[in-house]
Amino acid sequence: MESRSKSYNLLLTIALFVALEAAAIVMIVSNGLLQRYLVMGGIRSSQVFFWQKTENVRDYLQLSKYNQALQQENAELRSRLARMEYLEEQEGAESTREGLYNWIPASIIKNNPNKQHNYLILNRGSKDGVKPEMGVVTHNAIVGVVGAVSDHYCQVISFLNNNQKVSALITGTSDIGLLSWDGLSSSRAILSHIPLASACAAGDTVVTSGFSTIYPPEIPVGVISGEGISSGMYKSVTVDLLQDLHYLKYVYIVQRHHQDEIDMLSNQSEE
Amino acid sequence: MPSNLRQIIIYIALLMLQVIINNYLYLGPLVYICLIPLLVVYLPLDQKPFVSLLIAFGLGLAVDILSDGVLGLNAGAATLVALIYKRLFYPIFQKNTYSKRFIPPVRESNLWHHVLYLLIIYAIYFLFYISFDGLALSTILVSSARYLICVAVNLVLALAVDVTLFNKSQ
Repeated sequence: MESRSKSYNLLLTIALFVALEAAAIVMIVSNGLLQRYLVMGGIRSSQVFFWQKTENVRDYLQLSKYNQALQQENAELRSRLARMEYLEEQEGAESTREGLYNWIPASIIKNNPNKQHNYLILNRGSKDGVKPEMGVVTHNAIVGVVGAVSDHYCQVISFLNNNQKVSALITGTSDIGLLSWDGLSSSRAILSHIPLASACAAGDTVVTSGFSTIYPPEIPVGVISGEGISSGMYKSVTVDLLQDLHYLKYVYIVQRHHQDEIDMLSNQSEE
Repeated sequence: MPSNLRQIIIYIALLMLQVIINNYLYLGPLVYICLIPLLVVYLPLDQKPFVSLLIAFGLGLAVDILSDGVLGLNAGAATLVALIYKRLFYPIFQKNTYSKRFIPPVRESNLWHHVLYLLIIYAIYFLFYISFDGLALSTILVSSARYLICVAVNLVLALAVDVTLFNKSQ
């Protein structure tokens, strides 16, 4: 009788263990950022309130860093403005590179670049015109892609994710490669798929190529700091990012004008 | 204070500490501080195994939800530890400690037994955690480095918590 009870308990334990592990693995596998945001919307909105309060304290402590970054950005924007005014005067240009994109300023509510799958929460949502798959940038960094959007907030899949790759260009040689996070530091990335014959060298600047409609072209993102691994016809280099994504506060959400038309044409050609 | 109540308070405090660490302590992507295995191995040894499994799964899931981690990661790893923590206890610790309701304090057993026990527990925990966290994304080199660092850092931390908090709670 006792041995039957023991066997019953053992079977129950094994069955429960298998069921719990299966449930955990299903959760892990189906745990895309989007699903998480939708499933846990209620929990998130209360967490956002708490994060906002604690971020205020953290922001206060890092004000000098933010000021420095804003000053630098301001200087660059002034020079851009001067260039635009010059172009308009000279050519009466109606559409410039910047004019092709809609820029929505946003501030970061939650940024925890501490994991292998990082994301951010921004204080802009669908009521501000934000849609999924918009790019998020600063004047010198690729921040990520909008994943999910609620009325007042959006969740951004950070560039600091092992599966995020961005088309980038080396200014010195005009070679194109794929820029991805190195998985270790929030200020370093790897530019891979560069032709083996490329003459790129340490110190060359890396900018966005503009070959996708997510990120505008020519945003400087980093500087080549060393050689990586060569394999087959390609090589890779390490890139020091111009901005450490850990210390971000203000970003821009960008959308290319006429994105719907481009998507429609892409879909038609795929069909 | 009754020892059971003290145990529950310590559990809740450590769970909250775990959530705070996950959300606010930046130690880089290679280090993950985790107190959950310690909470699981300090579940009563005379408890029915399915109760331990459910408690461990609940603890892990609570941390996953409250610290915006990947849902199921800590829950799955904690459940695995709950399955083996009792089976691992008997071969490692001395026979005179078998009658205890909880793992015996360091002063009543042997420090190296504790080290070996926690080392195996954390090694199994992070084997599950890092395998599924880096699933097809990280390189083997990065995952291996992360595994070794996590086990080493957490072993030291677990021993410190073990000696300071749990030794007095029994």
